[in-house]
Amino acid sequence: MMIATLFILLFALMLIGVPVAVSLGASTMVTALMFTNMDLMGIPDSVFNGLDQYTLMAIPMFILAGSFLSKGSASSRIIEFAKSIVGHLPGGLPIAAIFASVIFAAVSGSSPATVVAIGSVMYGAIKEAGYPTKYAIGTIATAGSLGILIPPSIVFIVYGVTADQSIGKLFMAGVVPGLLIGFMLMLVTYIGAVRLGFKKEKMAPFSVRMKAFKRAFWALMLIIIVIGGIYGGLFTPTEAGAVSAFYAFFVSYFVYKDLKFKDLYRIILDSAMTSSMIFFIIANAMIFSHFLTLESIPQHITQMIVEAHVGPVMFLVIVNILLFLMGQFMEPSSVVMITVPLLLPIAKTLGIDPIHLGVIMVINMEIGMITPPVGLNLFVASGITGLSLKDVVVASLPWALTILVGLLLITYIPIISLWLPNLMYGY
Amino acid sequence: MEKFFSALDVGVATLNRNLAVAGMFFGVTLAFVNVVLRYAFDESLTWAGELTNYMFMWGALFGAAYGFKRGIHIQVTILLAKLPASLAKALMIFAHTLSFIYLAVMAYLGYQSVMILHDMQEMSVDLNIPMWIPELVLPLAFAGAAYRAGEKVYEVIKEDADKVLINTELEMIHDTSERSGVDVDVEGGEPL
Repeated sequence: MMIATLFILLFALMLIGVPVAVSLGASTMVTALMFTNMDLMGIPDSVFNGLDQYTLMAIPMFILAGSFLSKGSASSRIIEFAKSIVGHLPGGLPIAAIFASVIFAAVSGSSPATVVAIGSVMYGAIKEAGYPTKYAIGTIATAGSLGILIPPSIVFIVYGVTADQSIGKLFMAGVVPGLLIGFMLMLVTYIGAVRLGFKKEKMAPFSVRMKAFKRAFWALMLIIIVIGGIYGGLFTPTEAGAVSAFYAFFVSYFVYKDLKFKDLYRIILDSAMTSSMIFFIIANAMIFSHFLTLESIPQHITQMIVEAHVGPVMFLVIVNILLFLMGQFMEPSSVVMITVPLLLPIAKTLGIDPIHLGVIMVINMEIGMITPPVGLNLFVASGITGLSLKDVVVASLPWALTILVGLLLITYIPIISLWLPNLMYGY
Repeated sequence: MEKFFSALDVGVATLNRNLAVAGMFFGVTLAFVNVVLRYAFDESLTWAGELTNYMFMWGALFGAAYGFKRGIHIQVTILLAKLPASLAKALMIFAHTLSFIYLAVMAYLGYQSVMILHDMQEMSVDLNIPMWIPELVLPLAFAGAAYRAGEKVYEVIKEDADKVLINTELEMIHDTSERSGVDVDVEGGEPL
């Protein structure tokens, strides 16, 4: 009864337009007052302590690093590099857009930022080269969603903090699935382009490739700093965030010289706004999870699932459907904060690796970002191209379905996600 | 009276915004300096981690309060969009009123908590400052957010029912894109 009230209230508030963060806190507070004698004075402390975690601070720092690089010429240098490698294939330009998104995902932690950085340049170029508009939109909107799967990733940090898992391990677990989905997207684009009658062109000579690599070198180095730094044990993810932010500033201010000092305030403000949105959700979600723990609701639900004889496979199907639905109208961090306290204990009981569950959740969120109504990437793609949201949705469909197939593979073949982290960190 | 409120408005917004930027800037700088110290000079500041957390928390929560003005907080508008305009307007007034009450209660609880910490004279672990100082962010930021939510109630009441929802949707598209670095002409983007 209490559980039902809590969730009905939560969804009712969200549906009438109460901000998601406020809905989380308010529904918990009302339920607690109705059914329990929970001491409301415990709330401020759980909010404060929930935010007072060094790991969380990686979020604003990676967001800042991403915005330094996306404002400047780093993205066009990465695009040129991608073009020199895959541009000669049939479908070369849209494939290069996907390839560049994969690279950019590895220097920035957010999906919408990746869409902007790559999409604003590639959209016009792909269309000019004679591809249908669908190709231009579909590839940039969907490939951008890899931003939250390939490390560094904001959503993995939120998951790691909520589920009490190592961020380094989660980052590592995102690498292979991210590359796999990127490859699948490129393959679909390639097949489509061949069918449309696009021909293979002359491959760029090695010297051109080398030159493009050199021009993009400083931006590409950030990948080595983040991934190498964390896995080499040089930095914690939070420290890697601080180093990335300063490195990104240094590269775009001193090396590429495309950042002006007066833009600094604006860039920091924009990153602060994005971080604030996420932190505010986390702050209020702390009240929600504080209450769940206090009333041992996760244990009750786990017991129900076990008694209903739901096996791991069936459970993962339920997880996929649940997250798919929630990802349709909520932003990734809120979905993670709401579902992890409930799903994780069940998953552990059924013998599913928490790291694997994290990867599954993130890919589901990715799909949520490219399907209406709250597909952030769709908003951004519509903003860049001036097309209506409806057109963007239809254009993205073939690539969105490809990601769905990737999700199924990764859900039911755990080794895809777990191979690399287990190799690095042991079992 | 009108004048007083618009001056207060600008003052609160500027303060919130600058605190958000300052928190972000000093937080990232401190974290970076600490990494450099550890590798270059083989010593790190033990209190740096704690202070970094507080910087970002202050920055983010004041940013969240400012964000209620900018509309950064994700809302679900799918149901509202399907309802008749006058009903949608009524629901929105209700939603913002509810936000206002919740945020005000949170500010009050935060204030109580700060008072308790003050009386207990609890100190922070590394910085060794009284704990009520960093926790002061809760009452202040939530009060700032409540002020914004209250202002929104007033704005929606004044606004024509037909325009209320359209404004919200366009704000969201505009804001998502703007924060990601694109300038969108909101009149041109057609909401789904």
